[in-house]
Amino acid sequence: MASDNGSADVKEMIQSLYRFANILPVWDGEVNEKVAEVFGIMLSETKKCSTAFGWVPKPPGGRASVSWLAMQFGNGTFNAYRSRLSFTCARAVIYKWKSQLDMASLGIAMSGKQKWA
Amino acid sequence: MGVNAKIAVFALTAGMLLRPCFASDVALESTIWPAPTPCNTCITLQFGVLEMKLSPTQIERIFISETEPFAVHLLPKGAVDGRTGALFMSATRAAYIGKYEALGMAGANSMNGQEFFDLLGNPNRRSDALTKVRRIENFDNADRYTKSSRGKIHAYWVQAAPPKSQYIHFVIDDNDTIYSLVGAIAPELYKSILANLRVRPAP
Repeated sequence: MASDNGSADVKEMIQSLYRFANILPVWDGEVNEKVAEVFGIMLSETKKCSTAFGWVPKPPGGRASVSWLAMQFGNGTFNAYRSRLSFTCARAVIYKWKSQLDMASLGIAMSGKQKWA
Repeated sequence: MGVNAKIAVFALTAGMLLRPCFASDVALESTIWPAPTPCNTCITLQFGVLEMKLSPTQIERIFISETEPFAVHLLPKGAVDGRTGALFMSATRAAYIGKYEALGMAGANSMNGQEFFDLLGNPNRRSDALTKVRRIENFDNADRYTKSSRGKIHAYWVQAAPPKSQYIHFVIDDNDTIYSLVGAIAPELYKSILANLRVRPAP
């Protein structure tokens, strides 16, 4: 279970991406470490649509955590990054990973071995 | 306020209050596959083995990113950006359905597409696992769940009131791929796509 420190930030990032992509209803699941891992993969995939992501280091072990996401993308950094994505890319990535994100929120680990690219 | 007006207000209020409760209980309904319609101005799109005709009166642009080729975006006529389109995606049966084994859905790994999507709409087969799967498959926001079949193709539509996302899943007999059209899908687009949909081998 993720600590409160950073969970709210991560939830806001996920919801911000949904709003940006105009995907309704906006995700309203519970953030935990498994959610952070899936959202990290989603961010990794959106790198392909942005030129603003090169400076972000890979998370330790290739898997994002709640605290790592909050540290790297907190304090408005995520919104600045998000604004440089294309709408179509954000939509495709969300729809591709939405069910894994929902399952992670229920405590189910991501299937497969996808890692931060 | 007259009696009829009071009844109308009560019915409207009750409907608004009860709707979220009933929305997650949608069951599968069979609907008629739209009849084929000639369309001289349509362009042909083939995604995997699904071939369809798209009318320029509905779809203005088809976008495929060079970096995320797993999705085909259908951008509607008059769209100012990519936020209101629909997109085609595909997944293997094992990836799409098999993952639900981890949620406690027994037999998910060996279930075929029709068995899975039929089960989602069967009100007599509810379980805790199936309730979770239905939630992930967006049934909590659905108003209707319909199935139409023609030949080997079966189309399952999880309908929700716009602007909520719509989901149409195409299952083909003896084919291990599940095709999904997701996003903003008007009934006219649904009919138009199904009307001339057919299975065709990759060129």
